[in-house]
Amino acid sequence: MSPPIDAQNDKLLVGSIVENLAAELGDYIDICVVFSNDAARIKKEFKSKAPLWRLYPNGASSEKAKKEGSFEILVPSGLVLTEETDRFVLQSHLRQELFENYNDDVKSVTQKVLISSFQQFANEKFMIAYMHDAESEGGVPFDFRALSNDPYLKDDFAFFDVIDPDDFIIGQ
Amino acid sequence: MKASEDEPNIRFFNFNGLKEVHYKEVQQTMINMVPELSERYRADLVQDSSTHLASKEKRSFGEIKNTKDFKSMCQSRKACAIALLPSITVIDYEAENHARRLEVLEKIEEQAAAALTPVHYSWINTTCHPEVFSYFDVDPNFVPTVVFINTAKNTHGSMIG
Repeated sequence: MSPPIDAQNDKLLVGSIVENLAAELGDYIDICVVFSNDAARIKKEFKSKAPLWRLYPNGASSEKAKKEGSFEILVPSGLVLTEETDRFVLQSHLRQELFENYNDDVKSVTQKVLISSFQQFANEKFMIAYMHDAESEGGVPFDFRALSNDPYLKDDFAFFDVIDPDDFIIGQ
Repeated sequence: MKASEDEPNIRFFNFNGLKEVHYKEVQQTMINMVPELSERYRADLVQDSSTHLASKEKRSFGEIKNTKDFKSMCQSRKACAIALLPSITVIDYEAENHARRLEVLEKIEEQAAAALTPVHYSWINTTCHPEVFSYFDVDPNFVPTVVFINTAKNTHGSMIG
């Protein structure tokens, strides 16, 4: 377990992790850090010692849905916040959890389905497809996934993920 | 691209040579494809910036009575100073002291506004809200005091003495 966060210095160190994540993803993801004291409701609710990292589902509208869909992110044990390398490990871990559990609106389809979708959506939406090789690292970029939830784009655009498309469709 | 009465055939738009997806870049391109969307986006931008400017310019000294006040008078500012004052008004000399403290604070707020200092002043009645002592790590024996909060860095400190 990491040491308990109860000093101003530790708050700054945690703050720096959150600031780094916000600098990377802040254009489209809300990231926050909550410091609680012993009397805080949130601390009593989870009956856990700080630091407690929780991931709340994006897109959930009610407090109940947010609470029920949230879970604790288990961080690698033995990390010391004052060590820069440990902070980097923690930050990467939080980032990975966020990426893996983010709810997007990208439909993974085959090329055939994409083409048939052209007819289906042609009069309703703009279709945006991210095409890539099966071997490409990381799959669909997080930015693309987040775009599928963009409030401005949601009504007019449909997002697709197409693996190994033929050359003719790339050429289009 | 979406078919329309003017363009009944499906049209293709290619992000030529785009190796990485950058959120803002792609978002702007997509928004510009839809004139109504583009108009709405620009209108929102104008409204956001005018709201931001209005909240930036509007300064007022006052009592923080609830979370909403705290947000508008402190959290939405770059920095703020909150006086923690016990407000006992049933004893005459205490009431006079309280009124004098408020006068001093109001003057400081006016000076800060004139000098365009980013610190916004306000006060909390600690008799009604003793919970603020634990929020700001202040010993109740040290009031009246002033807590300075840097909202950008999420740090605070209080005056001693």
